[in-house]
Parts: sequence; C-alpha cells; structure tokens
Amino acid sequence: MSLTTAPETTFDLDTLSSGEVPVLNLSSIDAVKQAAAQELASLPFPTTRDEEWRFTNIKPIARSSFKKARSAASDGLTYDTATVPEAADSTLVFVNGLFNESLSRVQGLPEGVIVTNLKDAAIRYSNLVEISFNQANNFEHDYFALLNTAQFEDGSFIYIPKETKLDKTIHLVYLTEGTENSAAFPRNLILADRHSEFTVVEEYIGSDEHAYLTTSFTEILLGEESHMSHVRLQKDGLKAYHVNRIVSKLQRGADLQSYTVSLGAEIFRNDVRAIMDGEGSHATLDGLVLVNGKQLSDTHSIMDHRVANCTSHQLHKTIVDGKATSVFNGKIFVRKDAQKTDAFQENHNLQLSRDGMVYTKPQLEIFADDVKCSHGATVGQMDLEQEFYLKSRGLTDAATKEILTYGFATEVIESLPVESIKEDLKKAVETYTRRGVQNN
Amino acid sequence: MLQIKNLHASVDGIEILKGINLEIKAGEVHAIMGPNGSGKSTLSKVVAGHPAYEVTQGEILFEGTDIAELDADERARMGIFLAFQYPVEIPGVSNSMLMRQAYNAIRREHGEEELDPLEFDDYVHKKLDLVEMDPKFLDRSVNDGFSGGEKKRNEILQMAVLNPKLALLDETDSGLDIDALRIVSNGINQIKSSDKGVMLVTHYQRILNYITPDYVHVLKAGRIVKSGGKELALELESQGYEEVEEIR
Ligand SMILES: Nc1ncnc2c1ncn2[C@@H]1O[C@H](COP(=O)(O)OP(=O)(O)OP(=O)(O)O)[C@@H](O)[C@H]1O
Ligand SMILES: [Mg+2]
Repeated sequence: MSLTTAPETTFDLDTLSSGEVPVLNLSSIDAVKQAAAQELASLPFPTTRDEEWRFTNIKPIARSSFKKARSAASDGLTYDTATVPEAADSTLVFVNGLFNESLSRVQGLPEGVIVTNLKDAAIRYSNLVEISFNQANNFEHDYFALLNTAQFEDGSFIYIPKETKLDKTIHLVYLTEGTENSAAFPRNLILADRHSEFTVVEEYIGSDEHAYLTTSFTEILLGEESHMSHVRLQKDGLKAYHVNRIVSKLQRGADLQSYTVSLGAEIFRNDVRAIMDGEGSHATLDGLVLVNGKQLSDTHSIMDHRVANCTSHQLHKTIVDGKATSVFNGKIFVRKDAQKTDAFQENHNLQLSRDGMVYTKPQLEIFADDVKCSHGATVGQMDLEQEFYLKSRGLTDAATKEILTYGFATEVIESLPVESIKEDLKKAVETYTRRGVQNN
Repeated sequence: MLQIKNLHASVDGIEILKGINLEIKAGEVHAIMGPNGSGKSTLSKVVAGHPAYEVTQGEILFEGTDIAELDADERARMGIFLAFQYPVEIPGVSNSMLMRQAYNAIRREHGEEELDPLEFDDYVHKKLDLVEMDPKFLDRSVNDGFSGGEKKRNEILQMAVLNPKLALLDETDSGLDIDALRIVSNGINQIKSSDKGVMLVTHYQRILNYITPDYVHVLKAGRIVKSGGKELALELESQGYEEVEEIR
C-alpha cells in the first residue's frame, strides 16, 4: 500500500505549539483551537512526576518527532466496508487522520441521520457542529486533549435526529498506513437527539511496521432518553503510540453502553469519562485490554455523577503477558446533589507471565450521603486447578493458556452489541495468545 | 494396561500414597473404596498427572511406558481420562469449545484429521444422547453454574467424546439422583469394552449394581489394605472400614 503524499511538516510535541494551527473554517471553533494552542504552549509535557501519569512513562513519545500526513487520496489502499456487514453502507474511513471519501460508504443511512467528516459538517451543518463542539469536553488543562483540539484537521461527525432508531451500525475506521512517524489527530463529535437509538464502532487499525502517533478525541452528547452503544477498538500496530480521550455527557434518561477494547500499540493511554448530567441516566464503561511483549496500556476512567438517580457500571478486564504493563485508574465521583446514585466498578487482571506488571487503583470520591457505590479489583494468575482440568483433557500448555485467556476475555466480548466485531475479537484473542507463546 | 508399582506420592512434602500396587488389565473394572481422606482422589490425580503431587518412589506404567514424568496433557492424549470428584468450573469457555479442542488435540496426536465445528456437532450430539443430556449444555460455560449432578454427567459426556483407553472415575456416582445414576452407569457401560480399563472410585455399592467390578480394593491411609471380588463391596457396606484391617 502506498500513499501519494504532499510535503510534510516535521515536528516534535514540544515545538508543536509554535507551529500552525489547522483551521476548520468555522470561526467559533477555530477560536477554541487557537485558545487550546495557546494554553498548550505553556503546558509542560506530562511526566511520571504527574500523579495522572505515575506509572505511564511516555518519554518515548516526547522524544520522537512526527510528521503530519498530507494525503487524503489513497493510491492502491483498500478497505472493504463489508468486513463489518452490519455497517457495509454506513462506514467512514480515515487514512492517517484524513478523511478518505472514496473508501467510505454511507449511502445506506436513513434521511436525517448525518454521518460525515467533521470538516464537511462544519460547512454543511455548522449550527449542529457549533452547538455541540467542546460541550462535553471536561478535560481542562489536559495536554493531549488540548493537543488534539489545537491540531485536529478532521474527524467524524454523527447526528442522530430525535426518535430515530438506527438498526445499522455506524462504523468509523481510522487506518494508519505507509509512512514512518506519521501523526494523526482525529476529532470525533457525536450528537444524539432525544429518544434516538444507535450503535457506533470506532476502530483504529495500523500495521506493525512503522512507529506512528494517534491522538484521538471523541465527544459524545446524548439527548434525553437516547440510547447509544459504543465500541472502541484499538488495534494499532505494535510500534504505535496512541493517546485517546472519550467523554460522554448524558441528559435525562440517556443510556450509554460503552466498550473499549485495546490490543495494539506499544504505548497506549485511554482516558474515558461519562458525565451523568441528567437524572435517570445510565452509563456502562466496560473495557478489555490485552497486552504482551513490551506493551504499556493505561486506562484512566471517570464516572461523574452530577445529578440524582443515576447509575453507572464498569467492568474493566486486563490480560498481561510477557513484560507488558497495565495501568488502571478508575474514579467514581458522586457530587453532593447526586443522591440515590448506584455505581459499581470492577477491575480484574489476569497475569500470564511473571514479568508483567499490573497497577490498579479504584477511587471513590463521594460527596452525597444516600448512595450505593462499590468497587473491587483482583489480580490473579491462571488458576492451577483450571489448568490441570484442561490439560487432563489433552490440551497443551499453549492451548490451555489460550482457552483460559479467551474465557477471561469472553465476559466483555460477549456483551458487545455487534456480531461481526465479536467474531473478529475472538480471533484477535487467539492471535494475541499465539504472539505471547512465541515471545515467551 | 495400567501397572502401579510401589507408588509413593506426596503433596507439599506430606506423603499421601504410601506404596500402592495395582494392575488394571484391558477390559477390567476395578473399584476403589475406602474412608474419606484415604488417598483415593490422590491416586486418581497422580495417575492423571496433577502437577501438585510428587511421585517420590515407584512406577506408573501405562501400556508399558513409564508415565510418571509426563505432563497431564500428554497422558490424556495417550488415552487416560480422569472424571473429577469435583469438576472445575471454567467461566467463559463453552463446553463444546473445550470438547472440540480436546477431541481434536487427541486426533492430531494420532495423525487423524481434525473435525470442523459442524462435524464435531454431529459427533457430540450422539454422545449427548448416550448420557441423555440436553444440547443446551454444549453452549454453557464448562461446569459453570451446573448442579452437582449435572457436573458429574458432564464428566461422563466428556469421557464419551474423548473415548479414552483408561478411565479414572472419581466418585462419579456421588450426588447423582436415582435416574441419573442409572443413565450415567449405562453411559459408562456402553463405552466400556474389552480394550479399555476402568478405575472406579466410590463409597457406595449401588453404582456397582450397574457396573460390575472385576475387583474391589480398599484403600486406607495411602495403602491398599484389601482386595477382592465384587462381593467385597457388599461386605464393606455391612461392616464398614473399621474391620478391614482385621480381616486382613
Ligand atoms: N494439597 C494438600 N495439602 C495437604 N494435604 C492434602 C493435600 N491434598 C490432599 N491432602 C490430604 O491427602 C489426604 C487424601 O486426600 P484424598 O482427596 O486423596 O482423599 P479421598 O480418599 O479421595 O477422600 P474422599 O473420600 O473424602 O474423597 C487427605 O487427608 C487430604 O487432606
Ligand atoms: Mg476423593
């Protein structure tokens, strides 16, 4: 696969702020971008001295220099939207952060539903973009949120009108291909009007050949009584760096089922937040992380209960093999008005090797008095009795490891809303364990 | 088929088996009885290759090969099957997936072609009929949430699928209701053949009404203290184990 590339600018993250800020040609948003660039200029790059980055050393990102890809047209690059049949004609494809119209297929969507690239939306649906952009963003003074805001050129825009139930899955595909040290900053905006119901799969794919950086940011605004299922698949190449933010803001009665599944990248940081901003809203933020080799994966999550009578659930599962490291930091905030909150968090870690590292830290911050909150974390190895049971049936060590890994991961995979993605992930788990067996 | 010679085995440095001698020939059924804690499960697990148990003395020969140093999976692929006294739950792994992988692992070992999921489905349904099990158990996670009796029946289903040469049945009858006992026993009898050996650990005479043992052994404190024919089981039923050593 090759790309026709126009001239590229090389930069490192330190000097990025002095560079140009790409414009969206929508003045209110360009003003936000400029402001972000300005704040970024005075903000130091995060280090392990920062509480939020204690176990996650991102020096390798700081040390690298990246170039923004300048190509939209793909030359010989293919993506078959039928890979996910549920989204065969409702898929947007981005290549190295830039929208690729020829690979995208969105003709299958009903009237009124908008699925397009953000740059296009800023022109054609400027009202919708303006009322929603940066509205959920609560990543104040966050280096990577600011970096994305300043540097993004494009991303996805989704609008679901009121009372619309979408059976098809909307698939957003972000491919990184071709060039060494390319950088992409996709910014996604999802806006759902009241009583709508829909499913979005956001998928990041790259090859193992090249180092590259993805700094993504997805904002989700869910209107009253809307239901969204969101799957985020990170299947980046093993030399990639990926820093992601997702924030969702839920109005009264809104329901979010969010699944973040991460298998790729050498260093991966995921910050996922749900803000319960309307009574009776519910968020599920489940996660599955599979790392081995020298991978480092860090998930920081926040369930922010701002109003009364909301519920949140989180099941975050991690499998660590080789010399990989996994970090989980899950916060539940219950603000003083958020009475009758029911929040539940679980983090389970399976350590397949001696050399892997697991850091887990659940945090509850509760300022209301009538709430139900619980959390639990476990770190364990493969169970010896389970191992013996499987081996006594004739399974080899490798097959035993694979099947127990699979069993551990299934709980999350089975709850995913899209069949073909489930199947894809089952295969991915196999690939993961095989990779682990080879490395050990 | 199976020859156990002066077998000593320990766990965490504690000797549990203290010199077991036992030979099971093809076509034979040997019942092992004995009080709680005497080492019956230990014997079964040591033969199957549980890594926590260390063989400190003696030999375990299976079809003439010393298997004491082999891993559990190698023994299983050679044709040894252990039906667990306490079958292990494996959440997230479906019964059919486990059985298909295990069956194919054994086929590969014998240079036979693997069955694809559809072919395996046909094959496993015949075995389900044998133990009168509902197909819905195929899709459930291995033993996860199964009742005690269902777990035992599932062990026999797996045995039927894997078709071992030597079956070690550790208290498969415990926890079965009257009908289930009959069904499971029938299943075992149908799989039994002149080229297979069975070691059946039990506390009760009742399963022996269905599966006639050629020999009954009494295991006490890590040793076989008495052996006899099927009538020994009846004797034990009326006299208990207290007397056994005196009989000897
Ligand atoms: N890991 C262990 N550590 C210490 N002792 C053990 C261990 N495993 C087994 N034992 C002991 O070994 C002895 C034999 O146990 P085993 O399970 O073989 O008995 P059993 O004859 O099968 O009894 P039951 O009829 O109750 O099933 C028991 O006293 C038991 O406590
Ligand atoms: Mg026992």
